[in-house]
Amino acid sequence: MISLRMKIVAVMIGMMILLEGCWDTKDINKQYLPVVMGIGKGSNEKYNIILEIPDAAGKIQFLEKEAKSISKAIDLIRTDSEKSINLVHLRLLLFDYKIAGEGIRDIIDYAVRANDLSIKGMVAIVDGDFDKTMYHVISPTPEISTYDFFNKEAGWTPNQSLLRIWEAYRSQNSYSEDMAIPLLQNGERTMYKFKGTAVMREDRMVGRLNREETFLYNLFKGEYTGGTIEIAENTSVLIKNVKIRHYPRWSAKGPSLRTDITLDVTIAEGPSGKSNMEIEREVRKQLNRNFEKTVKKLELLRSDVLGVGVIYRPQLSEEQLKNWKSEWFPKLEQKINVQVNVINDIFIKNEIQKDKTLIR
Amino acid sequence: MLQYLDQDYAQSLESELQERLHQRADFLCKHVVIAGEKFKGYYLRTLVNLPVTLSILNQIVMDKNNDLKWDALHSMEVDASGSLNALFDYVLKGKLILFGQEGFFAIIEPEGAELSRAVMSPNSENPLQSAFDAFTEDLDTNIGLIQKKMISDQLVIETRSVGNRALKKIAMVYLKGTTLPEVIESVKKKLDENAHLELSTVRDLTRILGHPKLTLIPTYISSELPEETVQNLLNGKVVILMDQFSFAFAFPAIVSDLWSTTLDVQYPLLFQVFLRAIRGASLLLSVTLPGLYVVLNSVNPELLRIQLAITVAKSREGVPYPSLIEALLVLLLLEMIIEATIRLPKNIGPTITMIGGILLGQAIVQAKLVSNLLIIILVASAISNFALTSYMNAVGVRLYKYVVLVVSSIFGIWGLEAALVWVILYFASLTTCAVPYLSWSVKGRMADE
Repeated sequence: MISLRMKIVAVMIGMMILLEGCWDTKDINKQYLPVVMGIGKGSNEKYNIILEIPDAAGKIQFLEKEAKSISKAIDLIRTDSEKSINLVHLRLLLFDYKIAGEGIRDIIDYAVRANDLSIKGMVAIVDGDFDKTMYHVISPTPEISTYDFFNKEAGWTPNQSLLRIWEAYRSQNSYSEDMAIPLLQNGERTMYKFKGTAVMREDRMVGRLNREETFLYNLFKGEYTGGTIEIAENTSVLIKNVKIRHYPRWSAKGPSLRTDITLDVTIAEGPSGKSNMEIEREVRKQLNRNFEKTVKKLELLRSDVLGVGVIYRPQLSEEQLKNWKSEWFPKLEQKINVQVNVINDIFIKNEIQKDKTLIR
Repeated sequence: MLQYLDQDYAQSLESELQERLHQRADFLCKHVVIAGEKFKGYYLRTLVNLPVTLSILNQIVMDKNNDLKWDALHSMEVDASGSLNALFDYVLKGKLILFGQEGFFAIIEPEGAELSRAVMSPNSENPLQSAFDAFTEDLDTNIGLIQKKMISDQLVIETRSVGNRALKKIAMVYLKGTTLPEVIESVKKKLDENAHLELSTVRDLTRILGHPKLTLIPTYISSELPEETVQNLLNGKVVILMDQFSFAFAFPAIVSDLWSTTLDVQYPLLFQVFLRAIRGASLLLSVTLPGLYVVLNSVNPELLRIQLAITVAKSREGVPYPSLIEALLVLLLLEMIIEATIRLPKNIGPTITMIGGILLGQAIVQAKLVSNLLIIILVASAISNFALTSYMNAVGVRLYKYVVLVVSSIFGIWGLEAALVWVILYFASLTTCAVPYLSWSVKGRMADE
């Protein structure tokens, strides 16, 4: 005889199978998994969406549609494609230069709102011919070089800026910070060429930093792994460690920020006869000068990509916070002091007796 | 029992005995002569070695002088009453019953026929660093093996008979002072309560002990090795030996028995920890791998890294069935191979491994019926399954794998997690012999054990 309990269990299992509504799962080989989405200006409609789908053989498949909205464009792509489209592996959003000039707020909002889109994906702006960059294929194509370009375990260097979707969303809704988006162009032998960094005010591109300035930007943010500084001919140092200290002050004139940056460097290349002290001094001078120029430039662009507002945030009242970008940031006085410390000194006894200097 | 009965009564006993046992082809009544006197001997030919018994009897009696000669027989006697039922039982147990003149009557413990095998090395276990003798079918031999391995005044051995239609001797062995009193009490109580139930299989034994009928994991640890049984005793378990069964059953099983064998203690501590960690990992892998395959393939492909996702998609290119059906098909095949190899003679076993494993596995992938990733996953799952401590445990895990597979094919990674939580909840609900299944040990050192 079947007990009541067994009946209940049977009914529950039946309901679980019938009512869970999970019949629409599609096997992985019945889905396209795009890695890059290009968002450009359409010729007839607002957006032109290009999806890059890698396959195991190393080829890239391109799917393209125009529509008034991104999700509609993807829907149209899905209609024509023989497989379903699943955006879960999308790792890179590429904007056309023109779109970036008009503002990317809606697109970032969509990317954050869409459930299947990972907010860990990167954002970049295509500098130059959008279609040419998107359809650029190097042969033989490593299947996911587009993704590895920004991957810190693969192709990233401190010369490149990097912005994730969630960071873009945070910055565009923040009172105290602006975002910096990397600029890309198709390379000759490589997939992309890094062209610099787009400086955004709110969601609009207002200026650009070149590669050296991007490096300083990364240094200020503490992203320095493997960074190399070139001072003069044959002389370059490798950054091993960076300590950053901010001293924010608020006087009657407005905010003034002093930042001490202490670099531990090893000398990678150096001409003989140049002492460590000299190299230290040169690096310090050059970095101080460049930092000053970059800070000036950003102040003129009125874009707080360095995130100074975040440093002041604890001291700001709500009213001041709301007006940070418009009122206080332009009044900011920023000073950056760089200290350099060479850590690969070699101390040789014989040499000391000769001329009492440190030899590398 | 040497006694004189009323002559008429003795004759009626004889005839009744013949009446009841005439259906036994091996039941014999023979006239024997001991020390010059005639007797009628009743016995089962297959259990009693009569010529040897008689010569021993004669020897004993001859040594003594005439007055004491019947007293000398005492050394070979069995205490018993002279009722018919008791006699009947004694005949079945392989005793020799002698009826002499003038109502003389005795039950003799004879020399038995050779029916038991000698103590040999184990057949179903492969110990590495341990004693190599294994239990045999004879209960007394088995008890003796344990006693030889463990000389202790705290070793308690209780024998009792269970069953109604067929009597079965069992022995309950435990260490006083080590085994928890509750455990001993609960085992004893169940044995007393259910002594009338028939006992011929291991499942009967668990039923007598009142364990649940449907369990995912066995509630006992069976072992062929006296060495292992001694360790079980030291760990505070109650061991039950069944007559004519060459395994000892240690009660109760707890969760750590899934990944630890008692023979681990023969190795250095670090090795033991390493081996147990591997078994723990293989427990997890064998349960989750097939489910994980379905999850990653159809429900949550975002969990894979993109490189892997592309390769996985490529390996499934052209496979006609959804991943759940695919996995079930190959799992079925795999289970059949495992099941087939267990019962095959040892000299055919390797053949089926080759046919099933190498030829079929290779062909099935080349024919694009299943993806090669699936084969890798399922074989890994099967291998990790057999890394578990005993075959019995492995079957439970093998079964639960299907639950995980189905649930995760419906609910994805969440279902996989839920299925693992279920099995923990299920374990938590089990209590055998007054010990919760999720105990760390049964020694009772900590308050919650």
